[in-house]
Amino acid sequence: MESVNTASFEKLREFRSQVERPKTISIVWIIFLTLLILWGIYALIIQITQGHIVTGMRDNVVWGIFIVNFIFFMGISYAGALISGTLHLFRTSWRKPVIRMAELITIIALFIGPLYILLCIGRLDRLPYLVLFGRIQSPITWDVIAISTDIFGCIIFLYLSVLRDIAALRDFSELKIPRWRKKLYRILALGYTGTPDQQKKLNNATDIMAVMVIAIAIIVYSVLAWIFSVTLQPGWHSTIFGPYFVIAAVFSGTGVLIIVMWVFRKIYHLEKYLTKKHFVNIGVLMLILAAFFGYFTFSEYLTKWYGSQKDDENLIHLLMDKYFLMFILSNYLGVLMPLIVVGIPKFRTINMITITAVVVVIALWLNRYLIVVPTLESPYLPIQDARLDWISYSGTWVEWALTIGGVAAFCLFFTIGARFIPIIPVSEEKERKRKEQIL
Amino acid sequence: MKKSITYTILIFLIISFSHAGMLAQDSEPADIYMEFSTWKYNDLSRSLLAKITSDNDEGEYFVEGLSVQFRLTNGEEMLILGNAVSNTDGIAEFNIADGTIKYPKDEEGYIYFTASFDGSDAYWEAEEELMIKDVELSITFEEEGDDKLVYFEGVIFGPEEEWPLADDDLYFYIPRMFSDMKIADGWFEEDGTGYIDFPTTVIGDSAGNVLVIARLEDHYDYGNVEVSDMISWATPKRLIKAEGPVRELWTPIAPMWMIITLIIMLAGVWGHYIYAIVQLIGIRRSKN
Repeated sequence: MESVNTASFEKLREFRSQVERPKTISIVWIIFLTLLILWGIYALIIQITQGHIVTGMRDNVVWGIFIVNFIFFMGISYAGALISGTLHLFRTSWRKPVIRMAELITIIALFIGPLYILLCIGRLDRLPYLVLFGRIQSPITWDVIAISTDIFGCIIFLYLSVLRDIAALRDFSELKIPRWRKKLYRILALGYTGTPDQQKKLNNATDIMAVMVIAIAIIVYSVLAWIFSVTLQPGWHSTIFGPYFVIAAVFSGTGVLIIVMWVFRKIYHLEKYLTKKHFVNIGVLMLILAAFFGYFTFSEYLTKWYGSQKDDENLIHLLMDKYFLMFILSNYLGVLMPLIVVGIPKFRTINMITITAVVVVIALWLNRYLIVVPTLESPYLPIQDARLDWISYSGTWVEWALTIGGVAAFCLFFTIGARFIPIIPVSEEKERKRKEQIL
Repeated sequence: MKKSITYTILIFLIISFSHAGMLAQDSEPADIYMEFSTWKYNDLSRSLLAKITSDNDEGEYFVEGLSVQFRLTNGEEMLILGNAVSNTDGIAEFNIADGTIKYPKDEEGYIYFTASFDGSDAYWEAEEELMIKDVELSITFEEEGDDKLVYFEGVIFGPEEEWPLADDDLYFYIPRMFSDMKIADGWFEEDGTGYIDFPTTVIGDSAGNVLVIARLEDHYDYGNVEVSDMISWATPKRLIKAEGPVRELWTPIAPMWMIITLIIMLAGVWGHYIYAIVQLIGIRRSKN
């Protein structure tokens, strides 16, 4: 019997401070995040007790920041799945320090994203009707099926990916952690000791699930795009929305991944593991995606503009007038900055790539806002006697508090997740042999 | 010295700002424009309508919430009919039921109505006068062979006597979904009567019933007068079944291709999930 864990102990010694008792600064950080979440919960209570009137959503603009957040979080989740699945499947030599972060992004964002859908719904008591009376031909039903399938698949994939590390943590006697955590590691390790049979089973399952999460990520995010594109609304009814959403999702996901890499590199001093090469490699991926995203965006608006259909023209006028600054930041700065910073070797530093990633993430959030809100502000039929706030949307403090609460929850779960499992995989695998087997 | 200069500047600023505030409060009321019209209906009731608009830098807009007084005048006599407040379309409407008022008329038969707004902090006062003759219309339906004819008659009521409404147009409409559709133009002969051919190709309800409206429109002497009646001369409405495939979203069961695709996809995905779980169970069972 080969014990893979013995080989991992050396690395685990390096990361023991990460999984053992948290430092004071970590506790302060967790308290800060918890306070932000509590502020969000307070806003939620206000929304539940006073109704959706406390949000900026009205009869015409029925979707706002909540749905933007939903698309955004689902996007970065699918991006995490795509990146981790691809890196795993192709046994990319530099994948190890990146893959765990991508997996955590996938799972955490996948749990936070759908919560924003629940915040949009006025009658939550009718939620079971989706299952009881759902129709297969409804895009909403597709989304419910797709997201639940995706959550399940991603949990299995993450579990398979961390199983070796959990077994290593179980066997590492020097680790000073509470007894309940040791017990939890023992249960979750499933008795894995690294026998050839266990390794074979684990590798088979992980490879299969890596393929699955890639396929599901593409399908599920396309389904989300189809919710918009099957609707006969100006700006939504588009045949390229499926691939456009997938590209935008992976684009935003690379941005979030770079930010997470930078943060953990600083906090846990992972300079040895997360080198400039990792940032440049993910940065190049971001550059390619920026080019694709720019191409899709241009194609989308060019055809609408040239077609000159009245409602499309109204929408483009709105984007170029009321949302001009947002449009420029989202579709020009968000595309050009990765092309320039990553494309020109002189600018290709870790900090510059990270700043670009921050801009990309903001730009992609704004991109989703520009997809959702201006379309709803441009209805097909003229609205008579409508109040201005029914036609024109702006988020209220309740929506912003819940948005910040969601981001804080993302950071908190990431912090807790990183305390539970080493952020850099510690267990070893016979890479070359496996790669030969696959290829 | 420095202090006195500071105080002088402060006093100057306070006076300037308070003066600016007063100027802001003393802003001029806006002009309003009033369109005054009258409608007489089937039941001989009459509506007085004053439509109020104003304009600013962004263009013309309807003025809501202004109280308009409606009056009836005859020489030196004046009868206040009542007040109405303008709605979101800027229209103040006052209704007079048949028989509630005996309209004073001059020698030529004119009735004088006045609509006025007394002014407010926001808007200047405005007043409009309207002089109309009291007219009554009637329509009857007659079939002559294959022809379906609508006969009409108009009578003008003077102070003492009445005389025929002659040498004028009368327009015929039927109501449609968004507005009334004109179906014919009629002409009053010297004796105050006339007729039109009813176009039987228009669509009515399932029994062919349709409301026929005869209307004098915005007439300089009579205002708006209309009379209507129901007749079953129209082509009955029949529901046309859509040709070709119906949209599947409205059907109780999803299309077969969708069910098959979904089953294949879900079976494929969940099958692999089960495979992965089986592998995990295998790991658990093979533990030492």
